[in-house]
Amino acid sequence: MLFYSFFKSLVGKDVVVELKNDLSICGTLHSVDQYLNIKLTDISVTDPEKYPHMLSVKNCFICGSGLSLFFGVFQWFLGGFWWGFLGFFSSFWGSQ
Amino acid sequence: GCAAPHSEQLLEDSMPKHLVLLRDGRTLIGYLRSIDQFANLVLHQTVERIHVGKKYGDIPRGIFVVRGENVVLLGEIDLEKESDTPLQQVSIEEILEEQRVEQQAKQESEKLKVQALKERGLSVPRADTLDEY
Repeated sequence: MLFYSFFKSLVGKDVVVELKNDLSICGTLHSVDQYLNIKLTDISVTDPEKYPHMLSVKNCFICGSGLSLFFGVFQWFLGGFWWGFLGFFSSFWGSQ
Repeated sequence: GCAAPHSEQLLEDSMPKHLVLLRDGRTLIGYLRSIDQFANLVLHQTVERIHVGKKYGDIPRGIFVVRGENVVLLGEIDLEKESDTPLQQVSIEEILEEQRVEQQAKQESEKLKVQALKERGLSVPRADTLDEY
């Protein structure tokens, strides 16, 4: 629930996600659900040489179970300072 | 049930194609006919696309039913972006051969890596067990 709320606050921002198969995708966070599945729009692959098959894809849905890392951005939050960088490990998905 | 074969082609031209990345690394491209809350998919006129370097090959697979747990990513293919791709399409035989060569090279370097780690008293966890949860 904690990370779901955090992701909801990042909707509309540009994020970079890294999947378990080492593919890194940059895009605008369109939506997220309770399973931390995400939908990204206007995506671009950060290393297109290695993964050319994503060149013709603009929007995508990513299964939460396939995510390994999620990079947010620096943002001022409630007058404080919030470094929006999170790392996930497989154990977090244990409940699903 | 639908009309003449002509109209089906017309329909498909305006229908968005989808790209599916599976957990085992395969890439499927086809018309998404059905999806549910588990991300189970039904793909029509599916093609398995194999990429090696700047070349790719398409193997026609027909209708695919994919169990949701195997899906990593589902993307919508932008037909305009697809038409100006820098990639070169080759025949199925050629791409399979390129893939075989690439897999062999990977296995060689993996063997060397494991050997080097063994000599230092370390071991790498097997990748296929990391997904168990």
